[in-house]
Formats: sequence, C-alpha cells, structure tokens
Amino acid sequence: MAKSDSTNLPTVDRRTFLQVTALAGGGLLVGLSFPDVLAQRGGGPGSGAALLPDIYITIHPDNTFTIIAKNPETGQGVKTALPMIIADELDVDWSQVKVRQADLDPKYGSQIEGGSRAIPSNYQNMRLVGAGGRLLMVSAAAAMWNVPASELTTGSGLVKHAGSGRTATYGSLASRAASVPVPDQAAITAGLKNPKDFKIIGKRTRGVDVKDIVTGRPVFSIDVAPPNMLYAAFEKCSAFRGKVVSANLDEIKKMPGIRHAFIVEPAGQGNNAAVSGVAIVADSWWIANDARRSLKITWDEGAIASQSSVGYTAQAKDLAAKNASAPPPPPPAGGGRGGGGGAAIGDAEAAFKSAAKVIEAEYFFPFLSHAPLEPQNATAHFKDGKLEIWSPSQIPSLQHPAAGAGIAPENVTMHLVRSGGGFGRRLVSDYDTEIGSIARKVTDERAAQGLPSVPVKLLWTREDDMGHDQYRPSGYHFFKAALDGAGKLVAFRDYVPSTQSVVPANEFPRGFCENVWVISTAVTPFDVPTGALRAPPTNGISFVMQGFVDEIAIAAGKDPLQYRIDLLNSPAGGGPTGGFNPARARGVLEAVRDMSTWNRRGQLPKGTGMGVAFQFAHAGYVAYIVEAAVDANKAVKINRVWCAVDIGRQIVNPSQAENLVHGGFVEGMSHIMNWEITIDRGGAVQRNFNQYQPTRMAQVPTDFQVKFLQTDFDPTGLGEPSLPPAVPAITNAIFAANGDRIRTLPIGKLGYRWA
Amino acid sequence: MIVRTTVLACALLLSQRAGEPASAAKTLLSHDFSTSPQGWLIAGDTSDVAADFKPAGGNPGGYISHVDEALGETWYFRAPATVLAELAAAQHGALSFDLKQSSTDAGFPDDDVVIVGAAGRLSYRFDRAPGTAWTSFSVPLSASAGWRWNWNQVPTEEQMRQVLAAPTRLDIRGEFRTGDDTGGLDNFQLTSGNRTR
Repeated sequence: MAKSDSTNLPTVDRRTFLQVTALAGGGLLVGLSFPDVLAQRGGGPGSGAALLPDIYITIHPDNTFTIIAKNPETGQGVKTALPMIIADELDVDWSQVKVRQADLDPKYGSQIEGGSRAIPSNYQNMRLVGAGGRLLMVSAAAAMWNVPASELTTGSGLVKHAGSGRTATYGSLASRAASVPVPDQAAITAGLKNPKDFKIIGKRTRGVDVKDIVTGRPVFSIDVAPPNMLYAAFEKCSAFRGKVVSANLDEIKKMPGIRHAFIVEPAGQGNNAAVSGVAIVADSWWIANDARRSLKITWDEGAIASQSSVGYTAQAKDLAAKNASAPPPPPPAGGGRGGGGGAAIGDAEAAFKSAAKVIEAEYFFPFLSHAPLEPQNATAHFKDGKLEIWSPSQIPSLQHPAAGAGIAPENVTMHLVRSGGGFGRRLVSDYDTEIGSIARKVTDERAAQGLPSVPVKLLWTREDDMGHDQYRPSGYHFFKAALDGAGKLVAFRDYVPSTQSVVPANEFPRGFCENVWVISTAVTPFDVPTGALRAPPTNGISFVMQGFVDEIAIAAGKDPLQYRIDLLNSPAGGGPTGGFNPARARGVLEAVRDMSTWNRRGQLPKGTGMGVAFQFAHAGYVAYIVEAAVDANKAVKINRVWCAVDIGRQIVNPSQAENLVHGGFVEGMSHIMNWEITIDRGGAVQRNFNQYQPTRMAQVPTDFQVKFLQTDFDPTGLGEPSLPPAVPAITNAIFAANGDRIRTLPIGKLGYRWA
Repeated sequence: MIVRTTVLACALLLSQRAGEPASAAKTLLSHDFSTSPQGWLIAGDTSDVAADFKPAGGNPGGYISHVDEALGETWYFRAPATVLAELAAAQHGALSFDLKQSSTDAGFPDDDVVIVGAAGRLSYRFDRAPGTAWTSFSVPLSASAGWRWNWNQVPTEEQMRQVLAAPTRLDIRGEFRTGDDTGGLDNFQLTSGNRTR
C-alpha cells in the first residue's frame, strides 16, 4: 500500500535553526526554529507551514537583554524559570535580564500552562536558544579579533580573550554577530554548558513579578484597563446550562450608569462554550453588578434541575450493591469516556475465596471548585471586524473568543496576562468566549448609535466563579483486598461508580498484585460540568488508593511505609504500565523515611501519629511523611512535614520548586478539612469562601523539610505532583494519632477542625 | 474479531542510520487495519480497551484510533501477541508505523515506543510528534539507534536481544498533547534484521 514518505517531512535548514536579525541602532534578535516547535503548530509536519523565527532574546546595545517568557504564568513560576534557562546558556547575569511575556503566537509553539509540562517540554529548547546566542557572540568576537573561537570565554555578557586581555560586551558585538555564520543545531548542542557550570539554573531566584505583586502594581488579568473601557457583569442560570427565556432588559437599560443590557446566546463548544445569560455593561463594574439584583429573568433550567449530589450518592451505592461480587469483565469497548472500561487481571474472586484475610472499605471524595483568588475575567475590544483580547487562560486559544464574536480565529489578537491562580480552572476558557460575544455586541450596538467602539472587561463575581466552575469530579470507591497468611496482597478490587472520575491504568497497587479487578460504571444522568483540577485525577485518587493501601498494610500487621516498598519490589499481574517507574517511587519513599523520624514514631505521645503516602503524577514522584496531633475534640495540628521529590536531574529554580511543594501541601489541607461542592437542583450549593474555607496561614505547618532527589532522568514539572499525596499522608497520620480511618472528605463534616 | 496478519515477501530495508550500508531484509509482519483493529488494544489511559476501528481515513484505507480520557494518563496503542511473536526476528531490523493526532497545540515529551519483557524495559523517543496529517515513523531495533534500557540506561545488543526474545508488551504512544484529543495508528510494520556487513 502507498505510504507517506518520512523523507517528505519538512526538515529545518540547519542554517535556519537559529534565527538572527539585526536591530537598527546596534541590537540583535536571536530566535529558534525547531522541528518540535513546528510540529506543535497548527498543521504539524507535512502541513507545509512556513518556518518563522521565534524571537526569544533581544540583545541591546547597553548590554542588557530582554528574554521572552513564552508560557502563561499562573503563579507556578514559569515566567521566571524558562528565561532563567536561556540566560544561563547565553552566559549573562540575571541582573542584566528583563523578562517580557509573549503574546499568543504560533511561532512559539505550544503556549500552555497545564500538566506540569512546561519544564519537560521546553528545557532543552530554551537551553539551545541561549547557547546559540552565546556561540554567535563568540564567533563575532573571534572574527573581530582574528583569533580562534576556542581561545575565547564568556561570562556576564562579555566575551573575553585571555591571551590578549581583550573583552567585548555582547551589546557591542551585536551588529557584527548579525553577519557571522549562524551555528547549526549540532554545533549548538555540542556547545551546551556542562550543568556543573550553570550559574543561574539551580540557583534560588526570586520571581520576576514578585516585587510588583507585593507592591500592588497591576500585573494580573483583573488589572487590565485599556482607555475608555466599559465593564460587564454576566448573569447565568444557577442550574448548569440553563437558558434565558425572557428578561426585563428595558428596565435594566434605564438604570443610571448602565450602557447596555442584552441576552447572550450560547456560542462555542463543550466546556469552553459561552452559555445563555444576560450581560449588563456599565461605566463601572460595581454598577453593572449591582444591576443584576434588579434583573427579572425567566429561565429554562432544563432536565439537570432534577439532579443532586444526594441522587448521585444513592445511585452510586445502588450500583455498588448490585456489583458486590465481581461480574465477568465487560468486553473491551473503545472510545468510552468517564465511566466505561476497567481491568480484570488474574482471578480476583478466586483469590478472595482462598484468602487468609479480606478487608473492605468505602471511600468518597467530593466535587471541588478550583477557587483561584482571582475570579474569571477577560478584557476585549471588538473593532473593524477584529477582536483584541487580554486573557488569563492556561490554554490560550483564538478559537474561543472567535466563536463568541462570530469571526474567524485569524481575526483575533490575544495578549497573555498573568492570572491570580489557575489550578486547572483556566484550562477552560468559557470567559473568553463570553467576552468575545459581549464585546462584539457592545460594538455593534454602539455603532448603531453612531458611537465608537470601546474595550469591555468581563469580571465574574466569586459566586459566579464557584457556581459555574468545571468541577473536580467526585469519586466513589468500593474496595476489597485479600491477604495471604504472610500478609501479602493477593487480590485487589476497586468498584467505581463514576461521576467522570477516572482511575489511571498505572495507579498503584495495580501492577504489583496478581489479581486485580478495577471497573467503573457511569452514574447517569450526570450533567455537572467537570474538568481538570491541579494533578488530575490523582488529586482524589491518591486519597483513596493510598488510604486503602494503608489499611491493607495495617491489616497485614506491617510497617505501612515498608509495605509499600515491598510491593514496589514485587511487580505482578503484568507489572506497572505507562511511565510509572517503581524504582523512582521506592526512591522517594526511602528518602522521606531516612530524612524523617519515621522509624522512631513509636515514641510519639498519645494522640500524635505519623502518616505516609506517595504518588506518581505528571511524570513526578513525591512522598510525604506527616506528623499530626489530634486532640479529644478532633482538633488537628500538623506538627512536622517531610517531603521527598524526584523530578529528575535538574531543579531550575529551587526557590519556586519549594514554593510549589508548600503550595501543593497547603492546598491538600484545604481539600481535607473543608472543601466540598454539593449539587442541588442542578447547580452548585457552595458559592463563596464562607462555605468553602481554604487553609489559613496560622494552620500551615512551619516545620516543613523538602528534599529534591537528583536522579539521572530528564527534568520534569512540579506544579501538580506535590498535591495528591499530601491528602492521604495527613489522613493516614490522623489514623495513626487517634485510630479514626478517614474514608470520606472533607473531614470538617466529621467534626474535625484545624487546631 | 478478525485478526489478520500478513507476512509479506522480502523487501529492501534501507538502514535508518547514516553511513550504514543498505541491507536486505524482509517484512515480518504488517498491520494495515483495512478490515479490523487486528487485535490492538489501548492501554495506559484509564483502562485497557479495544482500539476503535475506522474503515476509512487511514493512510490509506482503515486505521485504528482512540479518544483520550482527558484526565487519564498518557495512552498507548498496545500490540497483540502476533506482533510480540515476531520481535525476536526483528532485532537489527526496524519497527515502523504511521500516526496522526487531532490537535498539535499542547505537546509534551514521553516515551514513544515501549517494549517490555522479563529481561527489562526498552524505550525510544522520536525527535518530533505526529501532525494532524499522517506522519511516518521508523526506528531500527538496534541498541545503537538511541533506545533506552530500564528507563535511562544505554542498552547493549545483548540486552536488546533478551527483551526482544521474550516480550510481554509493545506500546506505541498515541497521546501527544495535554487535554482531550484523538490519535490514530496505521501501517504498523516489522522488518527483519538480516543485515549485511
């Protein structure tokens, strides 16, 4: 049969790998074209897409440097980390660097914040950009001084010739560098620094926006304020995807300060769609939002109005009862989403019948809202058939605002703006679709009145944000485990009535037990919008799996930490799949044991206990040990935390990496104690922080040790892996302290509170 | 399910490494998915399921695909036993296939081909991702081609031989982006390694 020929794939001309452009006045632009970047563009290989220079470095005549931060910043630190990599290889001082956020542009390839992918996807390319720039400077100096390049060294933005004592700044060499031969990819790769020579990578570096943030300067999306801007508030049905039948728009339009009021029709697709609602546009956001209280809207709530958390739970328990024993595994069926499929390895039922001990447990975790401090918002200006938008999206896309505005994506210009927390909520950009629709309507109405177009800012309230989230799915897990006479795990069963919650195929202890039965049946109807929350899906799965594994270890009469290591040492049932490396999981468990007082936990006072948990998530391995004290009134105090992390051989910014671990743990504390979204009449019950209380500063543990294992693996990200095992490490510590096995979250409903 | 394995006549395998001589090799096995998924599964997302068979839209003809569980782990096309049975003869030969994905905007690196056996784990990463059009990939089953053994070690030919002699699974990555997506596989082929030196 005819096949496409790999030799027809577009290849990058080696001489165009590095892109160099001279600037008027003596500066230089340095960029990169790279097959991976090309592959991530719209057409990918074979599309015939033109190569474009990707400008990352501007070398200024005064020997300062502007470096582009390509990815969205949501607090994870990538706006600092990626330029650090370039600056180090370029061999300039960090103090000489200014960082500028890129707009959304295909020339940068993938520009997303999600999946903890920024470092693994960009580490090597950013190094090549910097090293390419450095080699250009060396070549320019060699030509100018007529000496071999091998006699030259660099540092602090200077090229130095030890033999003659001459030095030249990169800025002074910029014009000459524009005309020297451009190094090819092989030469740049060969010229990469030895990591032991890194001067910026691996050093604690303050975030580039930190000073502006702590001094209140406008750095967030919510701060965007182009001239003549109007403000929009948007009223949506409390039942998800309910539709407007009618509204008292004429009354609203007559209110002081109100410029526009109109019904927004649904636009776009999936969770990125704008849903039906009423937009009110005013001179100030407060006027627009206050006017919502005067709205009289008739809604068509739709069939979802009959759905509730109570109903989902009842159905889950009914499904579990009907499937109390393992039926034959269902025939494999492709394409199932959120509720189908499973795994049947070995013969779990036979193992249960012959087991020395069988334990069962029911676990539950609730829906969660992402609750970023900055509610959803976006600002846009529709003018002359084109839309300019400022968006805090984690996956910025021209498609969504274009769909809202009813124009082609190529007529959209998007500026990426730092967001006040993402946590996965801004992977979905329904607010971009909404503002596209609202901005166009405002411009159209103003044009009809003979008025010029103006920008419009859409800002959701906290209640809008919590009530119209893409929620972390809730999870019901009905476990059963069998042990042999020696306490070895011989069968593992997890029945999952699914509300879009999924269990990864490589989730421990699967791969380390001969007989495994994991299967899911969908709870239906189920129409709650769900999505990714930091570390999906293990942010919930880790709690149930590491909790039940702890129960298994206790039932076996074993040390819970050593029991996990023993399992990891004995692959079974086909062994682990995907990217799960048991040696690395074992490594973080051993490290956290050795750095903590785990082996002396028997000496702890009554009411104090230690819990352990580990998780493989998003290519990273994290293990926690937590020491917690619980008093008779169920007040919990986390005394000490130890954490071991394996995300490969290089931590780019240790300061930010520690922050991500601390933040993941503290967010996990919120998951445990108070966070829960319940559904009633097809909508969210909890709508603000008084009903959804995050962890407070006074509750955060102050004795918190973090160790990064430097293993010989490629660097990976840390935004997500730090969260999931924090939850079961704490709940396992509570069990160790008072004997109460936590199987349902949040524990605030069980009478617990932070001390 | 119809599993059709085609053993084709000798073909000429051009070595994938510059500087190596062209060698005579035969096609050991070819799956073109013209009428069925030919026993391939999807693994590594949230559960093991059969691949979706698409009778048209392949390169050409039929192909297999999978719709990603957006919240699951990286998923792979998993080869049937008929493929595993031919791997031993494919050492020094090549493994080739065509891939496409529904979107290319949020890519991430991961192992692209994984072969696991009692003797260890072999993995390979290509330097590019598939596009939205069919993209061909080929890698020699030789230690010098850039394979990794047991995650991050450089394999010896003997280690390659031991894994290929008794493989328990062969996985080809189908997911290349963060978020939901659809991936397709066509024209899987193994060629023998009767290299002339």
